[in-house]
Amino acid sequence: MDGMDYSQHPFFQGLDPKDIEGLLSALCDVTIAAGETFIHEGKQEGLMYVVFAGTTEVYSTRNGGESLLAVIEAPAVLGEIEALSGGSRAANVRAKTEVQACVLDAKKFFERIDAGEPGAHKLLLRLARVLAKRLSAMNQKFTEIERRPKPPRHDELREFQRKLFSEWSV
Amino acid sequence: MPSHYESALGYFTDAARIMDISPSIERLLVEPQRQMEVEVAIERDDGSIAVYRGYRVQHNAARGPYKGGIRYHPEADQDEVNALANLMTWKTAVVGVPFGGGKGGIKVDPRELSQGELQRLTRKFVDQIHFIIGPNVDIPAPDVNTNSQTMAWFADQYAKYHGFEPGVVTGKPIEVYGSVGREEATGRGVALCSKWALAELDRGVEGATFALQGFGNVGSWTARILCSWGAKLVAVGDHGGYLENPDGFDAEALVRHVAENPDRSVMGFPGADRSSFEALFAADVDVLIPAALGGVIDDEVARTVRAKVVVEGANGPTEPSAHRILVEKGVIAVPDILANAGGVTVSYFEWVQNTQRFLWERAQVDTELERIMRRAWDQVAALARGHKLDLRTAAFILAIREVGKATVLRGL
Repeated sequence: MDGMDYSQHPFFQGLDPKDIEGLLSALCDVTIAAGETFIHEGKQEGLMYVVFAGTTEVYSTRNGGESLLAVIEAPAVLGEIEALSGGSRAANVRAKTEVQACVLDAKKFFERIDAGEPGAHKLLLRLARVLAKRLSAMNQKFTEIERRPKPPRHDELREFQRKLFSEWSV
Repeated sequence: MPSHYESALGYFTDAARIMDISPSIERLLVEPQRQMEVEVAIERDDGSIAVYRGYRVQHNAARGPYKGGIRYHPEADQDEVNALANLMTWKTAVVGVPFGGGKGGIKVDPRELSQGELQRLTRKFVDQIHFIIGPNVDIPAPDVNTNSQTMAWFADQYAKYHGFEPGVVTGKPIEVYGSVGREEATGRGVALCSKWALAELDRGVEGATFALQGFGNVGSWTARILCSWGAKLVAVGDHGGYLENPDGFDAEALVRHVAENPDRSVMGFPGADRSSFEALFAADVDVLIPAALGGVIDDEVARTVRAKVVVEGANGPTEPSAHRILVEKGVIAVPDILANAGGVTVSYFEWVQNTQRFLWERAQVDTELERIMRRAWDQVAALARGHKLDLRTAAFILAIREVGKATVLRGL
């Protein structure tokens, strides 16, 4: 695969060629074959994937069988939570079609930040925005769930009272 | 083997499902209203400091102040105390005394403590929980390894904070505001239930045979009362071992033997043959009375039971799956929340006497106990007949009904 044009991916927007050049030591282009799982649930991998082309499937095997959580089309950023938090992968991700991506090595990325590399700092800001958007979406979802109508408690008590004073009062 | 909590919850849940109670109402009824865990530190006689854990669980007060014993036992823990507090709620409701359910305990082996240490332990426990108990709030009583002396210390220590309030605990010595008839109350209730269960089979108690596991307070009084009515005790067992005598034991002589025996056991009683746990539970008798430990009747034991009636003197002697086996075999199983509720019923009489400052005669205690137990028996039996249920399920449904009614009428 020839070198990818990073500036075409929204994640790298705002970074000039000099910024990207300063990050190259932390980046590696990859092509992932369809069907290959490249992010593994429960593992610590320290890699973030910036997907340029292709479709991926996020799935979990935590409760025995496999459950599909999401299908994500390029352009996308995957694996950033584990890469930044140092925790473990929350789910598996596999390529549904052939996927073209660049891999950002978290350790090397942090080294570039420590070295004061402007491109690394700009990328960190991009990452913060990605995470903030996801948090906002999650908050919205949580609010929706909370607002779902619950069984009317008063009616429930009234029904309980009816049962006690009628059918179970011999 | 299910824990006490799982068994208690299992019976409750079975009844709640039959009543088709919604999950949130079920949770409202099953969750304890308050659980307290405290440190109980005392100075030992040798000058060292010992620290124990104490528990008080207040399960439900919809029908009145929390009520339940306090046990001193090395196995006491939150799970056990929770389960027993839960059972007390249903027990007080079945017999219709105006109390809720509670239980307490200290994780301690009381055999390792002197009388002085036990007194300091009891007083320290009161220091830690006095602000959540009281004659109109939560009324403890004796339980495993605690007795009337423990309650006398308890009431005395409580009085130092709140003034003279004998109704703060029941099961006190007669000399310090206890009630006559309290000591034999649980055994009397078990004996009454045995008599009424036999009557369901058109049998009188006279000449009926019974096997008894446990010869402590409950077991010995059950034996004395049933034998005084003409029943025959043919198998008995306790922590020391098991005995049988097809001609029948002299219950009064057995009580004297246990009192004089350093092991406090029935073993060594003259004229009886050695037996076993398995033989006692499989004895061909009219009534089987487990009056010692929880969980003794498991599936295997239940399959061997030949008695026509099982009356639970102990708390939780039958595991839920074993209960179903007994019911399928057609055994009349009288559940603990009804059978051994005589104790809490006379505790109620003691509390009434304490709050009214008016003492009853023994005859009044016995008459009122029989009246209240009989009312409970009739209500449970009527529910069982009306809805084609076994006695345990009917008793839990009666209890849930009464606690439920109080809950909805009072409002949340």
